[in-house]
Amino acid sequence: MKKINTITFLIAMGALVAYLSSASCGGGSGGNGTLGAGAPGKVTTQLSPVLPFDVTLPPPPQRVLETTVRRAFDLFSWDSFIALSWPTDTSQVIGQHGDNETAWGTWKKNYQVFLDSGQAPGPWDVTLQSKETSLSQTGKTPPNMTAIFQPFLTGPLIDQNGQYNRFEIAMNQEMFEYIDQHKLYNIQGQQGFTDTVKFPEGDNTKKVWGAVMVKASWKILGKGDDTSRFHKIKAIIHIPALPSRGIKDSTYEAWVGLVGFHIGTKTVTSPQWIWSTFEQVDNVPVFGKLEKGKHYNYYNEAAGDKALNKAPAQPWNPAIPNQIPSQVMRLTPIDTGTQALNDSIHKMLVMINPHNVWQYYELVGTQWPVHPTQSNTGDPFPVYMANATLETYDQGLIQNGKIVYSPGVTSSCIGCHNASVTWGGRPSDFTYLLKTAKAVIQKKH
Amino acid sequence: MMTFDEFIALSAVLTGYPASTLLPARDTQKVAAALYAELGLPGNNIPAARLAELTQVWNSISGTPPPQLQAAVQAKIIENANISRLAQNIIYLWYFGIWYDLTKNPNSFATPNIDHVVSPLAYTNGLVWGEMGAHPMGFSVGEFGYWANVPTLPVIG
Repeated sequence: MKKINTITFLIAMGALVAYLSSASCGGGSGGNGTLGAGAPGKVTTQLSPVLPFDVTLPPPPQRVLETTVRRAFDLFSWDSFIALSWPTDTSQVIGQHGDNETAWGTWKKNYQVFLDSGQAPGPWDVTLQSKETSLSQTGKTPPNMTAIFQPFLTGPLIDQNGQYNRFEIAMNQEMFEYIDQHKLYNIQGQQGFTDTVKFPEGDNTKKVWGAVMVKASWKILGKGDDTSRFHKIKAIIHIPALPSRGIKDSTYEAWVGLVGFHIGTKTVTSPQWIWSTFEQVDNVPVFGKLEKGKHYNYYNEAAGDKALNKAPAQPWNPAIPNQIPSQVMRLTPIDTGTQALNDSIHKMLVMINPHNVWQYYELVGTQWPVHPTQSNTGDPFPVYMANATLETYDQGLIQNGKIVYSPGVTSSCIGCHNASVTWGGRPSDFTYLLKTAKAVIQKKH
Repeated sequence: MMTFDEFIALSAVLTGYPASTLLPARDTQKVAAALYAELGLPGNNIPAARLAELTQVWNSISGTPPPQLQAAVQAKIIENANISRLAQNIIYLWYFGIWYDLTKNPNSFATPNIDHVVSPLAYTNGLVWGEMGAHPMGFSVGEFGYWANVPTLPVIG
């Protein structure tokens, strides 16, 4: 299970074999089916728990931007998503029991690295970190979800039950240790850092991982949600105070379902990082392609499109009663090649278990620098990319029934993160995380 | 009608940039296609005879050896009153991403047309910005703090 076994191989060679194997072996809903050549009773798959180091491109003569190269990056994205969503118990297979705790759930959250006190964070200790995650499943110490706004304060996302989405960010050990070793975890440390911030790069040749950061978007599960179609965790939901409306700071526990997921990966081929984004398949319809009668997490057919992709009116607070749900459509459809890959991976996940929750997640797209040395942004492609749950209101504008995209305004992962900066006024290598650092509180003597 | 390949080849001579720069092998911005579409845009009211003449003249000289090609374009296109304005507009397209009203010129065409930005990407990818070592207002690919650095100017091959 530990050997690197990329999806690339499976897509090229193994999908048919695996499909035929499943047909002969069966795949029970409890995950007892055997796929491929595993031991009896043990679920096996050619999907891998090993995070890829970097993208594997086709040979130069076969590199066509929109097809083969995009495919390589999309495969990288799916390899990453599968590995990150793999069970913490790696003797198990992803989705073997329907849902599972995830590998990335053991990573350090941003609030565990950038402490309110500005003090040094604790060492990387998966045991402690995973303990917190595992306890979250029992509801004892779930992750605390405080973030309710999307980037640039463009607004909250409100689901059909009037509930605000919540967001959280985590990073891998390589990224954490760079921050820790260079004392970038507080404002004073960043101000004293006179070098160029340069996170480690994943490298296929050296077989080393680079910095990886993830951002998750969660909805509070409730009425109308088919909970079997979400990766779920129990979380502490934070309500920030809003004195003008008599709302006090408070928390409560709730089950939340994953609806959006960004993966940013720094690599040798892509020093501007590779940006992968996934969504739960029931989120939103594609503009102009509404499936009538279908339940969407963020679209109500009966509500009309007057407020389509518009942020809710202020003030923004999840405790304000009678919240009007966001009315959202995806303005840029998923590329047909990407969608074909999604379909292939979904089949593999279903072969593990027909009730595998991970079959309900789709790759929306991958953005990467096509000419990394051409400029600081490296000529990103696709030029624009947005996750409907994370860049809801930056997808582009609808004018006279047509979609209008604007450079520097419409969502672009690399284009936006290029502007990130440290507290020392230096570029922060495409992450805004460093700007969440706090100052060390000086003790009075 | 001028073909896309003819448009790129002529544009390379008119702008001074190699065709591989105007139309990169891995073309993320699709600017060339957007500019080419302007030639067929009904609102631009390009007289078909003039576009046909420009195409015919270009094809008659496109095989000229490179050292003499610029001079041939100067003599046969730039100094040809029938088609010089159209050729100038192609240069404007590449440098500014803007279609200029052809009537605002002594060599005007009879039918009015409207100044317009071809597309946001055509504008931000205009060659003029690189020529100035600058960037369009409101959009930059430079890193944070780039404005403190001396502009770097490209060397046209």
